[in-house]
Amino acid sequence: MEMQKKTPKPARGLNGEHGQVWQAYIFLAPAFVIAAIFFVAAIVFALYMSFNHVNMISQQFEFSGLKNYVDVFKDDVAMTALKNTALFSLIVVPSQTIIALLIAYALSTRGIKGKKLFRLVYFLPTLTSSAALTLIFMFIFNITGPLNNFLISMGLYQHPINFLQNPAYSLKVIMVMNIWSTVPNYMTVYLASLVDLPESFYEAAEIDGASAWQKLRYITVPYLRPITTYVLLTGIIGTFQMFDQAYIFSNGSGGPDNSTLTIALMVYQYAFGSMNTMGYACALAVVLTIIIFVVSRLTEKLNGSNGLR
Amino acid sequence: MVEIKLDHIYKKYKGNEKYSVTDFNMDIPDEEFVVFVGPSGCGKTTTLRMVAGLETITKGDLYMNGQVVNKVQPKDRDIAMVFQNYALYPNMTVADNMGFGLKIRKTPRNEIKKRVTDAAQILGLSDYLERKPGALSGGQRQRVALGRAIVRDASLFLLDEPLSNLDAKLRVDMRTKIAQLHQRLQTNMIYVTHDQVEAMTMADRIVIMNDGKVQQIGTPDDLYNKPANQFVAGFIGSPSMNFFDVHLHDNRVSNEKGFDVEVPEGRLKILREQGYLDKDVTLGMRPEDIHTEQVALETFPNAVVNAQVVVSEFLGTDSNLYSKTGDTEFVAQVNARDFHKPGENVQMAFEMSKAHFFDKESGATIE
Repeated sequence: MEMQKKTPKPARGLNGEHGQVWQAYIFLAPAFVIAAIFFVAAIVFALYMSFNHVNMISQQFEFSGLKNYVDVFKDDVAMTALKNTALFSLIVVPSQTIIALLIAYALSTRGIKGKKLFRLVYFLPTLTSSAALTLIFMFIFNITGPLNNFLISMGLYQHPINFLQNPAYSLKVIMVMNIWSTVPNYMTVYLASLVDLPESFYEAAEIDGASAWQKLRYITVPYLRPITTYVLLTGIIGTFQMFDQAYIFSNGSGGPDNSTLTIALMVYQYAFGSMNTMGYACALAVVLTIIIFVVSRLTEKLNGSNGLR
Repeated sequence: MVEIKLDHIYKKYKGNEKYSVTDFNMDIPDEEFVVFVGPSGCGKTTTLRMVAGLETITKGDLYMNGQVVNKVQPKDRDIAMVFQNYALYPNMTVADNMGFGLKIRKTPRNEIKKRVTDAAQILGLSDYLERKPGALSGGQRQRVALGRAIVRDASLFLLDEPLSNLDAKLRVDMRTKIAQLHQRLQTNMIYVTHDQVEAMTMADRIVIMNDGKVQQIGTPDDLYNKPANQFVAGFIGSPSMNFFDVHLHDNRVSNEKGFDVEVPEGRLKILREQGYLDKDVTLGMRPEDIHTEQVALETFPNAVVNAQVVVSEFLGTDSNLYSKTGDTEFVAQVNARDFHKPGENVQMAFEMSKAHFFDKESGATIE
């Protein structure tokens, strides 16, 4: 008896023509819902609060229009915090990017021995918690700490410098600390990308007569441009939002003399401090967001890459 | 212009027990087009890279114009190289890619522009000078890689399988282009390929390598007609030479699988003198030396076998007949007029005056 063949039916549902697209939406949905509730809603609420005088104790909202925003630009302390944050970002972001790139380039050099050991040593700071790291640096930079002892023993100066309490130095100490702790992460990102850089590019450049510096300048740096965009953007966002190190360093005050006061720290003080000024804190946070957005876009443009596509 | 001497060169990579290149010995006079050919992993690219200075030489000396250059940096060897993957700098335009070497050497800008424009014209790239490599086809990228080498005006061109990523038609076009380029530039070229057709069509001399060792150095004609050993005989020619394990007795060679032909007196004399009578040897026959025409059957009546066609390939001018006589398989390349369908029984004449004989143990040609 002859078996009758079944006519194939078109697949439907998740196995159908657009099944893969639907699967993707299903995977994306939970994260999207969580983000919508906890981030988008929070942002919208913060935006709402920034136009209000908010009393968190009595839970009263009083519409105040743009007053909070005007106050931000009239507030000398806010301007100091903005200046500190901008300076911090201006120094830290290029430094961490260049140092991470140079270390990654050196570590990817052909024929270098002990690569794994170097990578391990350079990556170790990433494993240290921010709080522990700040305490270690505060110990090192203390007036009686090892750095002062070392510099005095070298005869560089007679009296110890109060790095932690002198407004001229305190922000710089946090900068060093931040660079030291972020470089390993970015170095790893650069290294991962350099693995894909074909050796023949360097060989072609060698035959063309390029020196190590020229190879870095003409081959490595342009090749890593999309990664550099990523490093710069995350660096800018990270430095403008810098909070924990400044908080621990100054015990939450932003001192000495507001020299370590960053916008994020100020937002914290105004939102959860004794001043009960949540509306003003939200306005500060919105201003910070706008600044980060503008600076990030500018950097992306200046870096000349096609972004993170 | 440069004369190159590879003097007993060896290469062993760290961690390897075996040498990747063993006792490479060769003189390359000025203006010669030399092709290194061999199967993958035979050491041809390693040798090229040692000439370029991209690999260290484990043992032996490399001379350029009489000077040992083992320790000389690649940039100081006055060489230009085309890489298998082209190695075009992705962030630079075609013009910048081609002019990069000159820029590094601080050549004046107008001179760079002139040389790049000239090279682009030769290679048909004038319309693409402002494009980035990512916006070019494989063939165009390949030409940019060649252009980058041309503008340098180097004494020695090294080409590492430059056509292997191109399709068949483009490969033939570029083959001609590179040959023309060599005639125009009148400079030394060392060209690495695994494609014996490229080697045969382009080379002044071919170096055929296997397992790190040079098998034979010679003109394409030498390699084809006077192969030094069974490997060379089998590697050069398409379809490959047929090999038959046979026993030489009286004036015939035969095997137990139904193959039996007479050896002409001239060849027999050599075999006899070399002590191969009543011994096993390997007979090599090129497919085009096996005929089906009536005139050949009448000319070589003592070397005719009754064969059956198993697979036949019609190639336009020729036909390849994959056949067997008894249990012995072989391929004959005959005129397309003599096309035979699979399953047909055909008489085939072996032109034994063109036969090659190899020592069964060593594979060396018996001559």
